[in-house]
Amino acid sequence: MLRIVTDSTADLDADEADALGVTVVPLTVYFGEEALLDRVEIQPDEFYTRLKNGKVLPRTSQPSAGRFQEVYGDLAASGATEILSIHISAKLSGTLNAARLGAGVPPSGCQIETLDSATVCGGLQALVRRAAEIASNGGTLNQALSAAQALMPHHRISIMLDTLEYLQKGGRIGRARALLGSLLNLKPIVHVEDGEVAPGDRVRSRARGIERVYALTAEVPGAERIIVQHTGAANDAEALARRFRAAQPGVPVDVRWIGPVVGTYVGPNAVGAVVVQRIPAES
Amino acid sequence: MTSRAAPRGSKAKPSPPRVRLLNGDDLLRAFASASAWLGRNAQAIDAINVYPVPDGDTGSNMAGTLRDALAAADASACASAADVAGRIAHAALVSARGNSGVILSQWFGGFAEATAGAAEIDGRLLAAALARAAARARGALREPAEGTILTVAREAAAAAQGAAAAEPAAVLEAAVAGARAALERTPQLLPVLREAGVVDAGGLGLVVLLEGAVAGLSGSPLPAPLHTPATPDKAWLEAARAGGEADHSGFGYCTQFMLRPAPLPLEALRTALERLGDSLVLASDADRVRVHVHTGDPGAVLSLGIAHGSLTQISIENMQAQFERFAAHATLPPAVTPEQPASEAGQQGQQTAVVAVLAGSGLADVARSLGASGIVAGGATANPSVDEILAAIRAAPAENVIVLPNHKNVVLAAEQAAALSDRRAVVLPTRSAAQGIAVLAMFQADRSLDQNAEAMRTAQHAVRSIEVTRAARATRLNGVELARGQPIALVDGRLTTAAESSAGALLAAIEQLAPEAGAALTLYYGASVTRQDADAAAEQISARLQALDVQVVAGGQPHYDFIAALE
Repeated sequence: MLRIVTDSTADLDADEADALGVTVVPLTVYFGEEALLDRVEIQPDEFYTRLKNGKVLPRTSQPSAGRFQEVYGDLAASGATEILSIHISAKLSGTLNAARLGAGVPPSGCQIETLDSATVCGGLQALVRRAAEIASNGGTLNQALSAAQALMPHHRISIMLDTLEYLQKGGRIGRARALLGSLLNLKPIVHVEDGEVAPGDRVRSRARGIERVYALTAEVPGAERIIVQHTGAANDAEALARRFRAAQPGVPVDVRWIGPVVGTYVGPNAVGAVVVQRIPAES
Repeated sequence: MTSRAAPRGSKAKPSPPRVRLLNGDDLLRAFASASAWLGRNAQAIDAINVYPVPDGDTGSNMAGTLRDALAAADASACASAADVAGRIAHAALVSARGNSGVILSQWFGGFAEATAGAAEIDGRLLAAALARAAARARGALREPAEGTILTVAREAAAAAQGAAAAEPAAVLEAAVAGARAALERTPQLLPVLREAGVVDAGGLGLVVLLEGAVAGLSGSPLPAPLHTPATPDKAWLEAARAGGEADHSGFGYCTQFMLRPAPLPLEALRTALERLGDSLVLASDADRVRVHVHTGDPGAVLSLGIAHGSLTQISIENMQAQFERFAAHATLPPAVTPEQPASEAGQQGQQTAVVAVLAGSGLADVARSLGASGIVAGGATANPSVDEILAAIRAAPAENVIVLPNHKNVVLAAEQAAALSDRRAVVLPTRSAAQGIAVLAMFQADRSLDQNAEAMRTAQHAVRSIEVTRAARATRLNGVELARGQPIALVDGRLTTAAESSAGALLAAIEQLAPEAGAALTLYYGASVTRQDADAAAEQISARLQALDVQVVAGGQPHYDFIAALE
């Protein structure tokens, strides 16, 4: 039996994960000394409230290798013979490394593969859904792995930041550094390319920024699914979702929070969208 | 008041014999005289520009283009007429500034084309050259309009054709007559000219150029100058001296200040100031007046001001020193401030660079913070030469360059520079600083030129530009009566509002645009506006339009109190 494992940066609700039969390993959010498991002990809305109002900037850290070993062990004990563990881009977090270490000595009778999704949020979620679909249809580890890999280039993430403040304070911004230093108050749009945050367009007004997110998402042909994501801008997110539903009837459009790991960099009131393309089924 | 030159005719030397063939020397003398005469009348030509804004001036641009072309051409050693014409045309290509300058450079290009290979020029060839010049000038524009320099050039050539059998001086005289007649008719062809009650400035520039050429060729007297500027063109002075005349106009100090309160009646102040100097401009609000005057005695002017109230923003500039700096072209500080020297390979992965034309240190800072590699200062008329833009393109740290002219009067020069450069240079025809900066926000150095151009074009049309300045002269435009010095607002280049104050004009223009919720306004305040005044204007706007996000930035631009981008 094939089981799929991922982490909390896939922005899956608990019920969704259960329904898909996916095991989510949570990252940890630290507010000072206080450690909270992402989406288990702290939910996104509370996280962003504390992000905005708190004096201390929160940190996030990957699950430990030991935790992964435990999870894999539990899954093997309940009958898993194959495990595919898909995770947040290795350039954004050490989670994949921890998973690899945890899979280093696999439980007997169980084969474990890890996959660097080179993406996060709705992108990661899309790969996980695909793999879960194959698992629930009785597919093999290799089939699920191939399918997930095939989907990797076929999605686009566009997020408009309301402020650069958090990007500036955090580390690991890589190419997004190009967004800093402007003398104008600009709303930047960021993407995830080659596993890292990449700078996109910059606009002066929030209205135009959301417009840009819409355009960048709508122009991708053959959409299979759209996930509108936000860090507290629920109204803007719902309005954007309505626009997509009206323009592309038949394409499922969900609205989801962006989790703390990415949220710490993009800051509150960000609005974005992930579009996943339909790819031909493999023969 | 400054003394004026005695009319040339009163002490004219006897005319030299009228030659049938012009050699290199003759042609050079004609064009040098044309240049001097154009310089002498540049300000008067500037003064009839339809748009009463203090920059983008036709007279200064045409005069500067020809003056610098002659200097760079270094044609004094040329014997053949074709050589002289060719060198001047070639030099004008890069000395061109402003749309009128670019058109003039094409006019010279046509002239040189027609006379190519000719050691000497007779009347017939001269007429043909004027015709070719007119045709090339017309070809410079995508949408040539009648009632402009193009009409004047064409009809001058037609009149010259009628006299083609005569000697060159007579052909040129016929051309002048034809040009003058065409000029008089320009208001009938262009409604804006009729409304403003002026002839076309570019057309007048060509008339003046031809008049000067005639005088240079034949020694016949020049008409009285259109206007005596306080700072006579040095080259004209030399040309006048060479002809046996000397002008003794004094130089002086450009003196400016803000006087509070505005004295009533203003006329009394005006009369008193007119006794102390000239080029007087008074621009008044309800509670203050800005004074600008050229005077030999700045102390007296300040004392007069102090007697009426309190003075702020005082500036006194020695115009002789300023003039000599400009006249000695080679000693001008570089107008281009490239971010990286041309020899450097550029940032890693930098595929595209942007060169922006901007006047104002604050605007330049914002542009650089958004990734522009080279900023070309506009210069005195805010219109840089093709040369200056070309230098910035050559200094850019990437093989692909996007040029942002940011002014409608710089677009042609930018295109000419792009065409002359070896790199792949593309002009995005932005027509205002507000557009230019909005467009720059979309620039990403590691993207290809085409990807950048596409994103930037979208942004260009999504931003509305508002420019607030003071009318350079009294006029009537788009049905609006304007007093000289009156605050006016232009939206996307079109005059829409006249008001009592700059802040008032700004607010009215923004309200007319009816910004939607979530829109953003970036307000750049000019060199003559204080931060406090800018913040006060911003507060007025925020009070009226609460959903608008307003950011105030020190633009440092000359001429325009406020430049605003609404997105």
